[in-house]
Amino acid sequence: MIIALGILFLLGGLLLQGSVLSHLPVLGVRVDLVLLIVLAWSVLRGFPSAIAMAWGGGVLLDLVSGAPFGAHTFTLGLLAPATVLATRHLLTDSLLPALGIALAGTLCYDLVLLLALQASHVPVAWAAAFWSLVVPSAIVNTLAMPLVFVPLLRAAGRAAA
Amino acid sequence: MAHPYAPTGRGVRSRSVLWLGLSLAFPLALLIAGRWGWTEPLAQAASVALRPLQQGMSSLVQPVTGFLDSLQRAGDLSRENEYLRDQVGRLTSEVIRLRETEIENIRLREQLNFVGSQSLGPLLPAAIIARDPSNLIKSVLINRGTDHGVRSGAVVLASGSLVGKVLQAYPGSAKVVLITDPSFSVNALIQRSDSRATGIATGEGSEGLMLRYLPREEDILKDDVVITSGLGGNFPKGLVIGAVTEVRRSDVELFQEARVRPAASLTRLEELLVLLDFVPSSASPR
Repeated sequence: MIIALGILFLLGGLLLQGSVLSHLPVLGVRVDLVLLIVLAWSVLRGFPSAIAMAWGGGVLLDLVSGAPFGAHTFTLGLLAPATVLATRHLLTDSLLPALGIALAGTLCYDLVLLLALQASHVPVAWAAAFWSLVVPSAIVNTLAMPLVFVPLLRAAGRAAA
Repeated sequence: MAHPYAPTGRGVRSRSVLWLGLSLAFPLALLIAGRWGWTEPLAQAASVALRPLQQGMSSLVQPVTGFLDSLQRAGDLSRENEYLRDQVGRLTSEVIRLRETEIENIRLREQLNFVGSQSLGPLLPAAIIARDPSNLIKSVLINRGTDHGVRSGAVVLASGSLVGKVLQAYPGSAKVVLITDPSFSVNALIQRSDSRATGIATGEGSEGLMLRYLPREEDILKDDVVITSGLGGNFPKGLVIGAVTEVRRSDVELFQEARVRPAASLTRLEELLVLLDFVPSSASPR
């Protein structure tokens, strides 16, 4: 039941990310809604549903993205357990750890994705990509995290009750 | 509240490693399968399933995004209007001059019995139904696919200029990689009577391209028009790519490079044209 709810969130996030949000760039980038959903879910729910969400979100992204197939699933598959392990001793219903996870998670997500692209023989201009895409993306995602985390926290609480 | 599902007690570390390993096993299998093309049927099935949702979402948000775009551009409109008036004046005189050249060209071709005039062939209009969810990848999904004659590698245009090529074609949709994507490269040429310098234009991942491997001795100027050279056979010759915005030359480098602004506004694209008849060769860079 809770996983079905998560998949619905992911599907909605994917559709919004590929349509509305692409017309609303902030600092030249758009919010990575699917990434934020997976990270927030990992903070709130832990294993094993974090892994299921990482796989679900990754496959959805891979299906619509021009990146090498599996790159998004791999990156989220790495980040979701790392997030669970990093936040296991923290207050998971507090927003502060989620903000830190959004910042660090986005930096890792973009850098691992760039590595995956380079491994697929796509030339990557590291410095330009870091300053013009990765850093703005980390800032924008951190600012957007409350918009994802709070509804998920409420949904998780309601589903648990 | 501490994490309700976090592993606790003995064996935490080994369980963590187990979860991490399990979490990465499936994606690694996907990466390998994707590399060998085994995920193609899955991607095709998903494109068919997701297309109505993406198309519905796209038509739903189009009025909103149109309004947002016009708001964003409101400040630029008077400046743009002035610039366009100036352009119309210059282009009108250019058209008159080119018409004369064309007439002369036809006459000379007739005299030489030249049979080589080329046209681009049929163009298929397509609408963008989704954009790549990642900030690092510049690709879009269009609502035309193999059912409509679209093939992988087909050249995609907008407003008469090159915007990308089809990466993957599915029955009702196709993934188009844009010219600004880092994986995109095309053999290009500076279009000026006194400079026909050739180089390779590569997407920068942001909003522009970089024209590399330009011979050092060539005089490249700001606002020079960059077109496809046709070398390699992946793109027809003469498609406008964009204009030079900055030239970088160093005393110690063999080549110079130029930053190119795409002719089409790729962030505001809504409709595209797919070139159906052109058969790309796989001999040139992707």
